[in-house]
Amino acid sequence: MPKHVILYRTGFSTLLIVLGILLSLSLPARALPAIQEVTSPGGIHAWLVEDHRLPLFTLAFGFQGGVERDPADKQGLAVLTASLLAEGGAGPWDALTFQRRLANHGISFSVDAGRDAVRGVVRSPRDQRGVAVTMARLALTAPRLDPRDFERLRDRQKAAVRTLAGDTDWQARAVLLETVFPNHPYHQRSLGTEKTLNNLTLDDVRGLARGLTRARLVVTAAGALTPQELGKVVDQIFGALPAALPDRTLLPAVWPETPVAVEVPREGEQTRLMFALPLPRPTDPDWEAVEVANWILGGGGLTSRLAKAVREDAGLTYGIGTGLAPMELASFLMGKTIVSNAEAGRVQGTILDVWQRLRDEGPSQEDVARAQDYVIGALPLALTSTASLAEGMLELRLDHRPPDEWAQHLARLRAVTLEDVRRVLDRWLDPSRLTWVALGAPHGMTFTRACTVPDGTGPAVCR
Amino acid sequence: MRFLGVGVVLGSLLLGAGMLPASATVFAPQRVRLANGLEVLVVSTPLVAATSILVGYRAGGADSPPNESGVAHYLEHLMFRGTTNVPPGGFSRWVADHGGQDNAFTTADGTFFTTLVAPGNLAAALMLEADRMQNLAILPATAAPELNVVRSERRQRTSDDPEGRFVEGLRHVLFPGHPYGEPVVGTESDLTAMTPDKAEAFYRCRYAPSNALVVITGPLDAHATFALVAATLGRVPARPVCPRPPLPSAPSPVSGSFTQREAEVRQPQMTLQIIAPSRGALTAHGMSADAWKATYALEVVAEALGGETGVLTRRLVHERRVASALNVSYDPDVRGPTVFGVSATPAPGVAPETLKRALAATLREVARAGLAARDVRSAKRRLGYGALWARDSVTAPGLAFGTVWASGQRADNVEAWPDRLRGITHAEANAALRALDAEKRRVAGSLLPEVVGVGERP
Repeated sequence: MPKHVILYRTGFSTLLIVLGILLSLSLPARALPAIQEVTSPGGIHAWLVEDHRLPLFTLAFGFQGGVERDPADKQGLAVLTASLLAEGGAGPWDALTFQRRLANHGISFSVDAGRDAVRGVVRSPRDQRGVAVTMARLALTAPRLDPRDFERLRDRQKAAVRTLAGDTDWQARAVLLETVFPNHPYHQRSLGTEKTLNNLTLDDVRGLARGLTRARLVVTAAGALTPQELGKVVDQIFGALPAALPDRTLLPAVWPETPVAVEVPREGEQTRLMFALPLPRPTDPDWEAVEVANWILGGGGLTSRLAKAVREDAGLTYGIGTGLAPMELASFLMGKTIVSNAEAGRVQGTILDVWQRLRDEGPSQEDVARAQDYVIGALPLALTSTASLAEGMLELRLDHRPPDEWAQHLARLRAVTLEDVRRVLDRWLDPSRLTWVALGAPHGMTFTRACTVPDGTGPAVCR
Repeated sequence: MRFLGVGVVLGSLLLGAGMLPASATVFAPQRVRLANGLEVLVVSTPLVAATSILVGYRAGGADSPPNESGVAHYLEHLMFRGTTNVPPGGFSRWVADHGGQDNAFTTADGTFFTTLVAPGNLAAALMLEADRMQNLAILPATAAPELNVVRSERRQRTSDDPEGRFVEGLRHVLFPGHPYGEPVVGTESDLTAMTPDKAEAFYRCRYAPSNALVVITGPLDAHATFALVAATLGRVPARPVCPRPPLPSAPSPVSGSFTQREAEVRQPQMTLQIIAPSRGALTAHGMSADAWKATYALEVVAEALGGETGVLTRRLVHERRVASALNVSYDPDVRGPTVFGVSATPAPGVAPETLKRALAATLREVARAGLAARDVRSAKRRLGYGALWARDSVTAPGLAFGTVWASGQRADNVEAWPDRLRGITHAEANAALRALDAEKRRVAGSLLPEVVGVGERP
């Protein structure tokens, strides 16, 4: 039974141990899902977690390269193209008929453009897979791209831009990305701005759709499909895609040498704080130790050092946390919290103190063990549906990882030592390198730059 | 922790869930009631290496004593702040140490605690739930900062958020003088006057085994799981529970419209909120078979009108192009009166007032002409597939049973859902739609930018 039960009273933990033994005798423990590698008759490679206990499956696909490839004056193109492929009708069916046909057969089909990839998901009852396959194939190879749907979905995207523009989390994040990646497409707006959306034409959409080629494709699936069935399904959906087209290469995103502190004045009672610093890529040998360090610092929910100091002990916020953002060309750690204006400087000071103390004193062996237990225990708990399995595998494939990556990752996590965590705290997690964005009317903070609240029309204006 | 206000977006879980055409049930739970009154449901799911636990209490925002709005939600927070056995934060710490996740949310009807752990840790998690069901320690040193956290949560979600203010204001206009018109998180003044004692009294009053439900979902053997529950939560002594204050039916709104202008809002949003029957209210006040049936018919109507291909979407988004997106919602599984909502975003260049009129007028046209048989059939079919997908989740069963049970219904009404929906006829769907259209208790809500837009009058 768990070693941390020691936290609680003896009688209590004895009962836990007895119950735990009873339970572990009565139930099989499931390990990580087994991933099969499948090569279709047409030569498309796919990963499969086969499970026939529910009569359904999820198939996920991705094309390397996403909104980062949008030309600067055409931001929003990848997202609009994805919407048109998923919702604009295909082959013999107009948009409405296409959607009705999917829904009436219990199938869902979606395409979304992320920073680094265009991703899609097909979810279908097993006995409707013929319909699902036909519709997904037509959506990718014979989309209607009707001007009326182009206008309709572009209008919807403009509305989404205007809605987001009123969201303080979005506002702060936009300023942060514009601050740290001023010369790299990573600062671009995924949904575009009203102006860049007005620049888009159906020809732009056709061009991007033509670039979704087999050379950039990865496919995964989970659920009630045999490897033979999956082979047929992927050939039918993707077999007709062109093999390849030349790709645009992107330069690594370079983090600024000097940290920046940006004030974004906004009326209101609260200040939204965001803070970030650069990290190594997940392929770096330091990555797992960084994960452990982040969990101890701010990733571990209410039990992290930052949550303990700012929320649990002082009650200064509803939430504070840090997370890791591993992107294809840049990785970074980002933290955020919302505090009352009057307390902003005090909270910033607390964050810096707690962080520096963790760096100076190092975590305890127990901290490291708890973080490892969490991160190791959490992985199988995240894989609880055919969708989470297929989409989880898709991320591995987009990141060029092997099929046993989950097991390898857990092994590397288990091998992390206290010294490793101290080393990455020292090497990567220096709070004096943090770039800050404070959106609100913060008291007690000093800034090197001030920007306007970004709206849906263009970048924030800074001085 | 989160609180769920029952707001403009009333997405019923069961609208997303649904029936499996081939089967008469949804999750097929095993059910027992323990000697101390606790109701236990166990759902066996394949495909997962995780066990999800939901513990629900029939104690929500609408159960607050007068001038104590927010007490249920404050108590939800305090349930993580330690017991006589476990230190403050110890529950979350134990869960996190095992890679699990814990969270909680409060609605108008109930408070729910959710924990996700590996199957081997189920016993310990149940032990901790049993502990905080009976041994909560509300201490000044932790209860006072936690109240600040709650106030900060209110600021973040409501008072400092234009949409949050809009939802709160709309509910207030829609349910004047009714507990459902009060925010679950609490009003500013009630939170200012809140004390740990009030939370303690609420706990003593309502957190008892006979007022609780536990739903356990995972790769489980039901009998072994019942034995575990009996050895943990089953040992919590039975206690008397304070009676739930009855919920009045919906009053007439003071005004038929609610408009809020916000400097930060760039994109107008419109919503038409119409009072509609709920299964919780029908359970409480005694029901006719027809009224009961009408709630299922309205679920079919909501699906036939909204979504990607519903009649309103077709007319207003695709044909007339006055909206760029449209959403229809109806949640029948609440304890008091509920709302049928049609929400939409005006298309560029369309004045909000035009869309506002179009929502009501088009709903009326469709109600008068009637839904086509084909649209009703296809809505039923779409809803039906939802149940298959709901089973591909380890958390959906707990949420579905929990909300239905907290509304005062039997939890396993969820299982009857496919048959009930299947039985709805074309004529019954249209009758429900006509009754909805005839309902006078309604509010048209508009969230608008402060700057006066195209075609608008100040």
